[in-house]
Amino acid sequence: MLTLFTVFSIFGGIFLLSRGFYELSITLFVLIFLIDFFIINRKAYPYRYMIPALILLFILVLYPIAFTIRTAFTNYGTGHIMTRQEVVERLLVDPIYTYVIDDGKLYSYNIYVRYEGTQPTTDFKVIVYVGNNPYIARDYRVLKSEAGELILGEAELIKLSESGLRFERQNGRIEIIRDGKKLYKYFYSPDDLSTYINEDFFKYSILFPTLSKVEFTDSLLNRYSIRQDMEGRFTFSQIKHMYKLGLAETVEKGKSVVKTVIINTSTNKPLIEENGTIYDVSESGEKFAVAGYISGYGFKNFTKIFTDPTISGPFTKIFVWNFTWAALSVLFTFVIGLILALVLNDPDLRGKTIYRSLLIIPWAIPAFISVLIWKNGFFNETYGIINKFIVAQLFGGEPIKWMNDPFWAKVAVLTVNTWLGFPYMMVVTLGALQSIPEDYYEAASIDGASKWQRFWKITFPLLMTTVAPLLVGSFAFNFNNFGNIYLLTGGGPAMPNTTTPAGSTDILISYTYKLAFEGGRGQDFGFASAISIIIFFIVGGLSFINFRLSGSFEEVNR
Amino acid sequence: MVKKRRKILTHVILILVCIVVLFPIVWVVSTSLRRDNAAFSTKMFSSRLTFQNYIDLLAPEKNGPRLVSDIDALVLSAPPHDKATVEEANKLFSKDIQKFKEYIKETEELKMQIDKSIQAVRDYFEQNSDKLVSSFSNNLDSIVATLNFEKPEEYLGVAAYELYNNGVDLSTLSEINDVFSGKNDWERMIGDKKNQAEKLKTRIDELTAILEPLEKSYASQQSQFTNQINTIKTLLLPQLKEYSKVLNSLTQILESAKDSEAYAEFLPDEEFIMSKFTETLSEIANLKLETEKYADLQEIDTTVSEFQKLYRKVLSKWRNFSYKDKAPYSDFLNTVDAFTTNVASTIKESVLLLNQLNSTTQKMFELQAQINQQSSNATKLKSQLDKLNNEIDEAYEKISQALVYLNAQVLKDQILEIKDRVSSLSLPSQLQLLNIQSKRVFGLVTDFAAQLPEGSKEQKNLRALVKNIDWPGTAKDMFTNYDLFVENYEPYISELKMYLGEAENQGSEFITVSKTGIKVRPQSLERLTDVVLSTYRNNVVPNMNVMSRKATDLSDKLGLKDISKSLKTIDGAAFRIDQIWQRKPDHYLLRWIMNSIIVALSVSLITTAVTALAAYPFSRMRFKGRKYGIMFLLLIQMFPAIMYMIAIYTFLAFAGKYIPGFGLSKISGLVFAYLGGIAYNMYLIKGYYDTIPDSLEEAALIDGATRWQTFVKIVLPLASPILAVIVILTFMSTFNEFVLAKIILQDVKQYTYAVGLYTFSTGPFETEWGLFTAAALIGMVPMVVLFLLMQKYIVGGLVSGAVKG
Repeated sequence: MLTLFTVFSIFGGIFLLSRGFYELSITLFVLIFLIDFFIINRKAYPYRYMIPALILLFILVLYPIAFTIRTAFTNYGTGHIMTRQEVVERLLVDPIYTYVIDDGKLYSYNIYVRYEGTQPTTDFKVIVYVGNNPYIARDYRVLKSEAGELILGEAELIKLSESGLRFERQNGRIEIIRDGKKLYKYFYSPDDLSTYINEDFFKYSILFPTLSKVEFTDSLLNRYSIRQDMEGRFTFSQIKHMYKLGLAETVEKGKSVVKTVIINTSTNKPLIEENGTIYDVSESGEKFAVAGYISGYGFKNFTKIFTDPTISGPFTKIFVWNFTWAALSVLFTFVIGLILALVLNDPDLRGKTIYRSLLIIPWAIPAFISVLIWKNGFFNETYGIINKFIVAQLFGGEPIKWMNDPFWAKVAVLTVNTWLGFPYMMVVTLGALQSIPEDYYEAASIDGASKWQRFWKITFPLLMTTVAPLLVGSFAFNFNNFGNIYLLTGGGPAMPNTTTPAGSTDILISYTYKLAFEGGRGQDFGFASAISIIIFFIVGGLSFINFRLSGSFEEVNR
Repeated sequence: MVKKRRKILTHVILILVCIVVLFPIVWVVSTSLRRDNAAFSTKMFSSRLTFQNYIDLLAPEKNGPRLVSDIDALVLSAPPHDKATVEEANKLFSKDIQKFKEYIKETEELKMQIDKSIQAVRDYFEQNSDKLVSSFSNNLDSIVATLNFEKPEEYLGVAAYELYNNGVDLSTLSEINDVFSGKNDWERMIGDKKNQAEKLKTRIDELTAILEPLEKSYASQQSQFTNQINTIKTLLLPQLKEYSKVLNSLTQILESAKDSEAYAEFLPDEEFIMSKFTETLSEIANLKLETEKYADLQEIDTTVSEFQKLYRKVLSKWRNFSYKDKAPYSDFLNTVDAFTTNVASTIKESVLLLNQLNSTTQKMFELQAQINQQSSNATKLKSQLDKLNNEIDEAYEKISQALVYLNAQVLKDQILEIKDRVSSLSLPSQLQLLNIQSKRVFGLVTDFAAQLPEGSKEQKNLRALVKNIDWPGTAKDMFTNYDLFVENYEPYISELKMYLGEAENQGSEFITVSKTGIKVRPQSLERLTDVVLSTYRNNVVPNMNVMSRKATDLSDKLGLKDISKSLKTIDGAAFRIDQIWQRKPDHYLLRWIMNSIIVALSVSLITTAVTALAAYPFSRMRFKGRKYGIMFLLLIQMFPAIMYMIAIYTFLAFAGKYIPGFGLSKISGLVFAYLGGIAYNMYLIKGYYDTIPDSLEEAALIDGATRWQTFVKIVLPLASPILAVIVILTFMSTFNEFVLAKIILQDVKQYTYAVGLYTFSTGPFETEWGLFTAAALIGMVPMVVLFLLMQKYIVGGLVSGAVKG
């Protein structure tokens, strides 16, 4: 059982390795090793309980972290998505990198399809006419496929008379082709209007999934394929690949080395590779980028935060705002929560539970719903009820640009966050207030302390000892409070003069998200990963302090 | 007593706080029930309520357009009916047709209701014509009553003349016998001043006309000046610096000549060179004199003076130089010769430029003087004008009471005249005449009210009085739109019937045909689709909706109980007709909620199982890594979860190609991505395990049970409460997660509730507040209830660690 599992997983790992998922395959190998070790070794018994957790942990936490750390040192992003191997393969294989030779020759082609009952199938044959000579394409061979999907196929063209297939003509046109027992009926020809009703089936079931990816070769090794011409028709034309593999001698460290290089077939010059980008050189000697691949980037993603003025400026602003945002959120929620808690802590107050339940509701509503409600109904600049009823009708003012003025956008996000967060603070402080012994107050009132003194000398210090770790925790939470910012303003309004998608209300995490997933100005996974490592250190540090503060370490170590 | 009062105050404040805090919720509830489009409404709340938003989201009715497309799919054997057999298709077809007929019938019934109600309103108008007209007249009377202003003693004549001047007809007023009686006073107080002001204005305009070109040319000189300054700076500065270097070198050469052993064979004309050199010095002095003038050229000035110093230094050294026979001295002379020529030409150029600059400055000064003079004139005139205007304003202020009084008198007469005209009208045939008069009243009164002091009692009164006076217009609009609606409705419904009948007859034949693969859409069906989708929208809807809105307005404005029921019926019936025939987008809310529940349930069950298992050794066994294991996990999960997504995204995209039913945009892929968050639950469960006494397990172990058995049979059952809590909490947090789902799910049918709701708040739905708020409320209520039920655990879980410490 265990061997079976191990063997199977190792195969999986090798497969992943061959596909360029290095981190993932290493993760998998370590995982297999650990699992086997835990099960074989009796001393490692306690770990057996953790196997499922470990699997999840490795794939969903450790692997992504490793991936992120590695990505932070690469240029992974728009234009640099694939590995070098994949890029080279694409240059050689992808139909994008072929061109049609316009030699004035026209080839007409007919499609024959096998039927099942009255329904056509995707089993087809192609006959091409060169002049009046019919050629038939043999069944294609798969040159490259991915996950069962054809990427490139190749088929030979041979004279129909030499193919050994039997066929029947009617009115001079070949109507039926027989291949053993299989029968192919005349189905579609772009020149024959009577087959027009079959065009959709031809296009969507034969051409796009298969036929357009097959290249045909004749006896002279010329290549042909079906390509869309300027007028949108699909014609059978002779094609040529733009690039081929070749050998070139270069001098490296004083020795001449023979390397495989990609060669432009029309200019016969090798392509140039620099910084993870492949350049082609045109006949007039101009260099232009053809494709990019992931390559090492060193510490550039980190250093450009400080050196590139179009990045460092917005980054500093975002950094400062991130701290301001977290601090103000904690301050506002705590002050409001504390005041309400002090009011509700009065033992003689009636209906305390009702007030408490009502005031807790903002916390109970899923945050994304509330934020969307605020955004759509309240802060919308044209329709929102704050602008429409409060600003315009009550004060008669100009509509406030909640989403387009940096200051008001910040006011909006802070307002919403305070609304969302104060119930938590209220509940927490209420709990802490109730744990303060009554005797202290009695003693104080005997000594003649005023209400104010009692609050500052007894309540507040005792409160802070219990609440301080929660405030730090809340700070850390708000520091990374992606959802509120993203859903409310999307980080906007956009900052001027920057090459990255930075906005005035962006915090680091939303900035990172935009860098990575919102392709408006191109994705930059490398830079995003670098920032997320920085965030990790800030938040991790905060949490570490917090564990210390709250004594959680001792609790776990008990 | 004080204590009690304070307590009430506390309650009042708390209630206020609750209202403010919960206002968004109240708004959501009310908006989700509104019938009109809240985003475009001028009212925050509305009394036209409906559950339609909820019906559309949860149990959308298969209404007209949906039926048509269903019939179309049946006849053409297209999805979702492509798999049905002929019999099934026929059955469904006749069912759809039946439903369609029911809708037509319902529509006709509703139409009849509208007819009846409109007739009822008409009848009411006819029967109560006098009453309505007299109520209108009463309304006019109360306006007239409000117009009773005290008759001012002063300035009545002036005000009368002012009004006369503005073309107001005062002949009907008894107080004013002769409008010209106040003419002289008026001329003194207002007329003369106005004339003066007019004259002043023309003069000011003239002055501005003169000033404008002057200022323009000044501006152009200004830019020329800056250009010239810059040219001089860029030309002279670097050259001077270069020359300074040469001067230094020259000193050096002289010095070296002292020690040189070589003697010169031929000396250039020393005196000539020296005289040129000295001459240039004087030119430099000239240059300096020029540059000194400009503060902007201070940099050059200092450089020049330094240059001058150096120059003098060289000169003095040269004069006192005694080794004139040495070879370097000849070099020196040659260099000086060439240098002087260069310097001289540079200086010449600079002086030329400076001369240009001088002329520019000259011009600028001249222009400035002119501008100053003219503009000071203009300012004087303007202040005079301001003064005059102030005086005019004051004068108007003085006569304002009289003006208002007179205007009120005029208005009174006008309204009484309107009343006179109106009194003989009979409704509903002469509704239009009444409408014209009501509009007139509205216009006159609003204009008058605008003259009254802002916010005064009379103004408010008047505005309130005319607010609903235009009801004849509303009624007229309702009737006209009703007529137009009927005009368009009749052909619509008859076409509908005709094509439906034909489609019904042909349907089953075409169903049989299309099953063989020959798909032809019968003409009748095509026309039917057309009628349902476009004829309805283009011809029927516009008038019907206006009619329905006007009916509600009329009901609000008239406030008559007798017809408000009929009016409500019109509104309701029209709304229902629209619900039947309106083309509505499909919503997937139920599907999204199902997806969310599936995801959240799987995630919560799997993670709880995994963590319950993994937390056990941390509580009971000794092993390496126990001490810092969970802390490590908690810390490591501080890594921004969003950044996991790049890796998980690529992983899912890759895995999706090989594992069917998994990968990007699949619920299973999302569940997988959510499974990473286990650390916190582990921490909680471990804490709970710690509270279960060891002795139970020890006893079992002694009896021969294995560790696994004690875990499954003793610890797990005892821990089941906390496990249940954790399942629910994880369920809630997964249900509420938005970001990862947004990244992973791309197909609208695979969305979770959170992502789906997001689409309701953006794009074409941004202003569909009814649907959005209803959808929000549907998701919100169960979560809030769950939260309140689980409150104890949520709060406890968060605080326990801290409070204990």
